Amino acid sequence: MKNKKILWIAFAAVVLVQWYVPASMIFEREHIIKYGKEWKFNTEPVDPNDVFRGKYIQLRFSDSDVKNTLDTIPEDTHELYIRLVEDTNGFAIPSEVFLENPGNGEDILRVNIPYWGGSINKLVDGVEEERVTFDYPFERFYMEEGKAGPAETAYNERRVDTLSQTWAVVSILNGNAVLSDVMIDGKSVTELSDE
Amino acid sequence: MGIQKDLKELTDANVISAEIAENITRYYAGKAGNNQNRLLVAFGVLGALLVGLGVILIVAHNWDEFERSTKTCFAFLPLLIGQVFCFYTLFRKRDSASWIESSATFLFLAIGASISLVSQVYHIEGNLSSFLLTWMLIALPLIYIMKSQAAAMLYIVGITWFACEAGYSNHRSPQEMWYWILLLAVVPHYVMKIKSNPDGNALVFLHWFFPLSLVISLGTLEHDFNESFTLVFIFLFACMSILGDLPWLQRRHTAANGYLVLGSFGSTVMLFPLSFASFWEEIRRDHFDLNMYSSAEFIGTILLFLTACYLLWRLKRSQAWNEMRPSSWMFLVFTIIFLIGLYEPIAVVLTNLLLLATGVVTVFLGAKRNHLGLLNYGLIIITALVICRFFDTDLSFVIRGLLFVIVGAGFFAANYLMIQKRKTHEK
Repeated sequence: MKNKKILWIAFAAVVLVQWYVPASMIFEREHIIKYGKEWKFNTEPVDPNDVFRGKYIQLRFSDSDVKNTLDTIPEDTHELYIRLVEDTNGFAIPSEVFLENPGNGEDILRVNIPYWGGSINKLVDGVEEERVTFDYPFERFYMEEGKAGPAETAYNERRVDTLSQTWAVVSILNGNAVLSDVMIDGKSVTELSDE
Repeated sequence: MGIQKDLKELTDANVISAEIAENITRYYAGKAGNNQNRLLVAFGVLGALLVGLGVILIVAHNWDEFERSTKTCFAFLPLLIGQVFCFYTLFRKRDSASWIESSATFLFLAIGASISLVSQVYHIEGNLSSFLLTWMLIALPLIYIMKSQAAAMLYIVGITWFACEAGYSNHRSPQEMWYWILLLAVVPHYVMKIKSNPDGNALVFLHWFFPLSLVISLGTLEHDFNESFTLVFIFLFACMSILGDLPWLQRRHTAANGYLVLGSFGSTVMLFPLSFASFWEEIRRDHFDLNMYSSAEFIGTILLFLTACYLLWRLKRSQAWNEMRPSSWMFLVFTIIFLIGLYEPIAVVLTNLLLLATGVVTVFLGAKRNHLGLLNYGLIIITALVICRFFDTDLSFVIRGLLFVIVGAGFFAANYLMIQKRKTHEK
C-alpha cells in the first residue's frame, strides 16, 4: 500500500515535470511577446530542415558584430549581452557589448559567441577596428512543410531588386527574444509563399 | 501436438511415468506462453515506436492553418494520451511487460513531440543538441518509474545522439559533458536489471547499447592530443573485453555479449593503424608538449588504465593466463610499446609483432576450445596484418607474395585440421 502511494506521488511528479517544461517554454515566450518591444532585424533567409521540428528558414543577419569595448573575453564565455538601438530606417543595430547583463530592459539581448571566439578586425569608415561577432539566438523560422521552399524562392527573387528588404520581427524583453515573423517588403513570408 | 502423441506412446510403453509426462507437458506449455509474451512485448514496443514517431512527423509538418493557441494546446495532446496509458499501466497492468514497454515507449516519444511543437511555434533558439538534452532530461524518470527496458534503450540512443551533436560538431558547446552525467543516470537501472534477472533476454539489448554508446561518445573528450587518445580507446576496449569474459557475462551467447565482441574486435582494430610508421612519428613529435600531462585526456587515460588492470586482476581469478583472450592482456603489452614508442622508432615493429601474436594466440585458443569462429577470427587478424604490410613499399614483392601464400595455406590447413579433429571426436 505504502509502495503504491510512493509510486503515485512519483508518477504525479513526473507528469508535472513533463507538463511544466513545455508550459514554461510557452509562458515565457508569451510574456516576451506581450510585454517586450518589437524590433526589426535585417536578414538573408535560406531553407534547411530539422529532423524533429521540420522545415525552417535559416536566417542570417547583416548586423551581427559590434565594436569590442571589452578588455578580454574569457575563454569559457559562451554568451554576451548587447544593447540595441534603431537606425534611421527603424532596423535594430547593436551598439554596445557586455559580459554580464547590464540591467534588464527592452533593448538588451543575450547573444551567443561562435565556437572560434568571435573577435575580428574590420574596416569601419576606413578605420580598422576590433569587433566582436556573435550569433543571434533566433536564427530559425519554422514554417509549414512545402512553404519554406517557396519562401526562399520569393526571397531570392526580391534580392535581385536592391530596393527590396527582408527583415525578422523579434520581441525582446530582459535579454530574451521571441521571433514572431519574417517579412519581405512589408509582407509576411508565410503569406508570400501562399501566393 | 506432436509431443502429446509421443508422450502418450512413451507412457503406454512404460518408458516414463504419467507424472513425468505431465511435468513435460506443463514445461512446454509454460515455454510456449513465455514465447507468446515475448512476441507481444516486441510488437507492442514496435507499435508504440511507430505511432510515436508518426506523431513526431505529423507535428514536424508545422500546421500554419492553426492559430498559435490551438497549436500549443495540441502540444499537450500526445503527452496526455501517453500519460493516461502509463497511469493505467502502473496502477492496473503492472505485471504486464507488454503494457509497461509499449506505454513507456509512446510517452517517451510524446515528450519529444510536445517540446518540438512548442519549439516550432515560438521559433525557440537552440540546435538539435539542446533539444535532445531537454528531451532526455524530462524522459529520464520514466525509466525508473515504469521500470521499462525500451525507455532505457531509447534514452541511451537519445543521449548518444546528443553526445555526437554536442561533441563532434564544430560549435563550441558547453553541454557536451552532460552526456556523462546522463549516462551515469541510467547505470542504477542497468545494475538493478542485471541483479534481478541476469540472464533476461531484454538485457541483451542493454549489453550492446551501453558499451556501443560509450565507444561512440568517448571521442567527444578528445580535444588537443589526438595520438595519445589512442591509448584511451585501447584501455576502454580492454575493459570491455575483460568485462565480457568475466563469469557473469561469459556464460551468455557471444551474440548477446556486446562487451566481449566490441572489446575484442575494437582493441584489435585499434592496433592496425598503429602498425604503420607514420603514427609513431607523430607521437614522437607531440609527447614533448608538457601541457599533455595535465590535460583531462591524460588523467582519463590513467584512470581507464587502472580500471583495466583491476578488471584483469578479477579475470585472473577465473582464468589462467594461457586461457585468456589476447584482447584481455594486450593493453599491458601495448602500454610498454607505447612508452618505448615515445623515444624509439622500434615501436612500429613491436606493434606488428603484438598483432601477429594476437592472431596466433587466437588461432591456438580457437583450436583448444574447438571453436571454428575463434580460430578463423585469429586467421583474419593475421590476414589483415599481411594486407596492411602489402601497402608498405619497403617490403619486397617476393616477401609479400610469400606471406600471402603462407596465410592462405594456413586458412585451409587450420580449418581442415579442426574439422578432421571434430570428425574423430564424433566417431
